[in-house]
Amino acid sequence: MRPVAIIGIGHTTFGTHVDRTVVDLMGEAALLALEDAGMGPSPGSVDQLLVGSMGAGILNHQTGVASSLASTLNLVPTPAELIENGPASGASAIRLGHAMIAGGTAETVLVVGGELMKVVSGSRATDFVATLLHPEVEYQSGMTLPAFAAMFTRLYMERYGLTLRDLSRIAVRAHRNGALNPVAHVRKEVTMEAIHDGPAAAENNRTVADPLRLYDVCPVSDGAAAVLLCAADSSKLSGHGKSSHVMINGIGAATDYHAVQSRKDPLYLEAVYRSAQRAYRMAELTPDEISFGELHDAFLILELAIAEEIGLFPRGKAKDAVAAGETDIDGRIPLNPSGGLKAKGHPLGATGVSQVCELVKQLRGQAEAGRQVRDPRYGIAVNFGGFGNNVITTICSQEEI
Amino acid sequence: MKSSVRTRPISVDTQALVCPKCGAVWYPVPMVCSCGFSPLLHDLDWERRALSDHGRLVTWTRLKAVPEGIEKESLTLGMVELSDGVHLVGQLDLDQPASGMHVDIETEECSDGPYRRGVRFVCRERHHA
Repeated sequence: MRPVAIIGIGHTTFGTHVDRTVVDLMGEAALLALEDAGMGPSPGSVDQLLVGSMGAGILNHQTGVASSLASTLNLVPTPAELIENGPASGASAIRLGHAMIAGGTAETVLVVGGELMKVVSGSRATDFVATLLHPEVEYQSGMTLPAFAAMFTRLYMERYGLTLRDLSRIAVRAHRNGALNPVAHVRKEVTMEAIHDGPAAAENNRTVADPLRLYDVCPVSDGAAAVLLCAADSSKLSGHGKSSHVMINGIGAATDYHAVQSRKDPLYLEAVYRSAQRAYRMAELTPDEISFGELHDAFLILELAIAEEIGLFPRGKAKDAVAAGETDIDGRIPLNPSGGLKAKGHPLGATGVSQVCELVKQLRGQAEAGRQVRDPRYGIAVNFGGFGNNVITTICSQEEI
Repeated sequence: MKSSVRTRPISVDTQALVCPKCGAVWYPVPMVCSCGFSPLLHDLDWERRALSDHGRLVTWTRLKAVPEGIEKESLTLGMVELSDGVHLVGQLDLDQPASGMHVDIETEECSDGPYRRGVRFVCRERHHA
């Protein structure tokens, strides 16, 4: 298997971009990634374009966005495909790009994830995301992703003693990191006083899906991110003058039953566990060797549950690590130094690519002051599709080449 | 080579199906059982089993941000474990839901927008043991 390096990253700001098109956003991220790699977007500069997007066809009334992106970047006749795997579309596209290079069918793959969601109303965006759910036994009841996250949170609270104050601690840390991240959607710090302890907390942090409150869930965001993958033994790397690159050490994926009710235990995220096990096996690593993580905290409860499923903490104990400061930027295992989906934002198809961009930035030592992890060795990213029915885990490190 | 397979019964008919080979009970109904057997390729039928009409509330939420197509200000939703072990999700017609409470399960026709059609479950407070 050919080793795969990430030689360029690009990222638009996450937030509101309703005056642009989804392809325009993706193009910006792609150009930034090519520029970061010291390459131009000329035909032949990449062997393959892969695009991750969940909603361009439904929300933006545009299909064939991979072809459109190849055209506007003047990459034609480079092959281009769209990958749709819900909110995990971005990491799925990276996984397929990795497989193409590892298998020898491409030397360079440009992976771009993007989404333009805020062009529709909140209730329409909620319904669009809910189309991920089982059409016969979930969607028709009015179930949504926040509803499942709320029910998961309640069950977790009852089984493991989690409190809403525990969740607020995660929000405070996410916003502290996000405030320092120039691409984050929400760049403001929040305090425990404002969202939990103080007299105005109930108003500032209103309930959206009991027991979840506003600051327990991520915002709806627009944005795009891109990575340029290259075979680590390719002659294309020799002209870069860099002696080290960020490598993909391991990447794994797994599925779970579509309907949450079909799972043996609604609190067990089997696809997260299995995707991580596959990534660890490929990387020949164990969880105790991980330096930091970018975990899919579309709902704060998921940061805890994912961290436990991938072996960073025993089941039910992640909340204690958060309370002890272990997941802070200077803690034993910093989580979501980017601000996570909670503060950085969650433009569905872009999220998995954005998480890997953050791994690269941290491993290169290029994160902004105050949110750079100290001497990171291995970073892990978990991109969560559906309500955990299709998950991709990626492990990266900086290696001498 | 077969030219077609038999049609899978959709899950809105409120009946669980039992795999004729391994006895696993499914709701919703897959095309292939986890034992690898697919009745759709054979002349064996899934055994139909009516879902229990009562169960225990496992978890619940009151959703304020309802999706497009639902004409209500909020929805109360929950997951129930039926007395026969099957889990399902549905709407709750309960003033004060609580995890563990016993509920009766009813079905109702739904027509909320173009895609929410068919049957859904509604859980109400259980008044008798």
